[in-house]
Amino acid sequence: MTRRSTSRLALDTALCFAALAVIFSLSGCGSDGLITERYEAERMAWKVRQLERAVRLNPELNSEEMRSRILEGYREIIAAYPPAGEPASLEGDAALIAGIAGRARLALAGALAEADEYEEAIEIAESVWERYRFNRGLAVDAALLVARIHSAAGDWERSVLAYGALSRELTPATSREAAPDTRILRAPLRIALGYQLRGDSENAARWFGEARSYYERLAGEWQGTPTAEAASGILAEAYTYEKRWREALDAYDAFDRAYGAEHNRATLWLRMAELYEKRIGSPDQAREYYVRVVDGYPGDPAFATAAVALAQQAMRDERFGEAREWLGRVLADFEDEEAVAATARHAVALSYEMEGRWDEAVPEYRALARDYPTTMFGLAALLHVADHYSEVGESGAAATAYEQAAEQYERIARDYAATGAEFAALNYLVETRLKQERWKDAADVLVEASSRLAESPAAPEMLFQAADLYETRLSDRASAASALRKLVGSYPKSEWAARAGERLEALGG
Amino acid sequence: MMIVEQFNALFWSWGQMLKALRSRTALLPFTIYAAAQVGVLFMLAGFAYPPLSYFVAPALRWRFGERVLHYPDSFLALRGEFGQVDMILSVLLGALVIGTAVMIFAAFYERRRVGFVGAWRAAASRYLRLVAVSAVVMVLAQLLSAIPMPFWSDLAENAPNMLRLLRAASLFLVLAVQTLFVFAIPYIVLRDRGIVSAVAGSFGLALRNPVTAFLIVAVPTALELVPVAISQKSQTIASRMAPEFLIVVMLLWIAIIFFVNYVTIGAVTRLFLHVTQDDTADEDSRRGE
Repeated sequence: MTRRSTSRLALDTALCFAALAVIFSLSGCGSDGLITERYEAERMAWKVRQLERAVRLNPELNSEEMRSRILEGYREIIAAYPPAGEPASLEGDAALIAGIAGRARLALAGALAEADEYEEAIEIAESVWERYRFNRGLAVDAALLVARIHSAAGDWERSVLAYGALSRELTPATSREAAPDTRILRAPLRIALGYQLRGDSENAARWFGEARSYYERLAGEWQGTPTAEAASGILAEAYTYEKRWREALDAYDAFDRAYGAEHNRATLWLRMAELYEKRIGSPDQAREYYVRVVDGYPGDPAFATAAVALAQQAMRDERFGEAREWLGRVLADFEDEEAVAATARHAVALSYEMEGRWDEAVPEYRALARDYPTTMFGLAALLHVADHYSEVGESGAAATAYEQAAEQYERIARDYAATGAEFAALNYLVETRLKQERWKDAADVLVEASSRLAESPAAPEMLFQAADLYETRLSDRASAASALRKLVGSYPKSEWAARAGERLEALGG
Repeated sequence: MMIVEQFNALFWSWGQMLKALRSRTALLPFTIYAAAQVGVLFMLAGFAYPPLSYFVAPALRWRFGERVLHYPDSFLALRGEFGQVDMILSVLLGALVIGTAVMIFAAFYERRRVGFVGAWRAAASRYLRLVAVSAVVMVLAQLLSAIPMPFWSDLAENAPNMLRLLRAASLFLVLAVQTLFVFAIPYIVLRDRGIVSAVAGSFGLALRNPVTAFLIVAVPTALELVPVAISQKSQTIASRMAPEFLIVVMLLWIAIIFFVNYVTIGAVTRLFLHVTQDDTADEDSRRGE
């Protein structure tokens, strides 16, 4: 190849690239001109979100300075990207920029509300509701945030207005096929529940009525669609909140006939069974639904729930053999599902205990503690065995059982440190030591637990309880004062701090 | 060559290559290639800003989809984007750069004087042959590494160790193919051979010195695993430091490619001259007899 042809090749290549660039720029693949702005907006939003994430993951970073930086970050986005003039016509990068700016406004409003700056928070959140309605998700979030901030600020009536506007001005679905936005659907029910929570039964009743009318209207207008299905389900839920059990059952029954299918029937039947059993007091009808679930959903978690419920019914009727048969099926199929298996194993142990066959109950409780040590039933099992021996006056067996239980709790607290099991195990350990009347051990465990679980809201109470034990049971005023000083120093704002201060004064130090 | 001789030849080639560091001219072709890579990298990273937003952004959207045009995904996708552009660059520009470097290394080893421009022109005069050989190697390497992937996708969950083994085997095959072709460019540049003859000659040399040739290619290439391993943690780097830090990772990659290319081409040229000298001497002696 000659020097000239090489130069020609280079020129041709450069021309090809230039032509490609022009084709791309002019084709539909081209940028709409706002890519730089959109990219910058994304970058700014990402940086602020990272700061928020860092604070959430590491509470030590949650300083005033950091919070100011986060607020400043959102304010910068808002200043850089004001609401668009013609929001309805936004598309492409312009719509994305508006979305980022709207989200920044909501985040800022949320952060301000957390800092009790309600007035500015409401103003910003309302601006999103009013000016970003073209972005449906954003508008719904804005309405809910406005309602939440009003509620937190103690202005429930304006919160009601925000929820009302949401359900009045936005339809829950944009087409018959689309899945409904349950946040919109639930808005009227939220109002009713809010009044119920505040003890305003008159307004609660009125709004439950409004909510039901809303769901009935949607179920009628959108018949056969996911929106009507969701509305029918929430209608039944509304009756249960009103404690109108019969109507709730009728509504669930109507839902079953209209929208019941393979994927939702198990949950639905379990709910109906529970209503019959616990609210209506009709175990036979409950049993009918439990049996339906058991027959229709073998291998499904719903099967386990129904089978355990049938076993509990049988135990109440003193049909212990039948109960254990149901529980055996659950254990065979759900051995690896810790929570389910522990529930079933506990029920087996309880069935022997209720039958008066204590010697057979004990190995079951011990197996429960061994195989599922960190579950609710597994944790309680050994203490229950010890309590039983204590109650029947077998003090030797009780002493051994309490010691075994304490060893188990110490082991769990050590092996499962920094988990929920550690907290539960330490609580059981304190309870065990108190039952053993080993006051010093109990107090020491409480002090140790308060250090290990320093972030727990229960930590100040633990220190107070420890101080009480040192003072009243052991007459160890120095240790009591030390625990109280630790409480006052580490948790000056806790409700226990004032009591600790008084106690400390009484102790003279 | 016996196995010991092959190892001797390997270390001797590397030693000679290190001596070539005295010639700064030998660094120039690789510097040009690295500069082109850095240019590509900054074009990809700065796609959102004018004037790049007019043509790089649409091209990225067309090739990689809308996702890569958004922050911070744009930085997370940088490695894949750069890899694809670098494939084209390595054929169109890399072939010329390697040809030039071979010419410069050969002149150094033979104690001849050659300027960068002269070497560049000499390589450019064989441009199509160089591109053709580079393209064949590139296509074969891609076929070997990409084709099995759809068949192995299930292994990621079911047998991850098996997948790792298969990936290692695939990498070995790619390196083996590169080894077979590694002397083709020296044949084209230094012996002015045609494509078929150069490839045949390269296969012959590689098969006669399999250990030396394979290790000359494979050992420096292993260094590329460092940035690959780092960039597999892209998500963590982006969230813990900043997405922009991934540009530094890519620059590290470019620096390593620079080093790998220099070491490989320098050693390959030395070995090529050594073994083809023997061939020439054999031919001369046969003629003399």
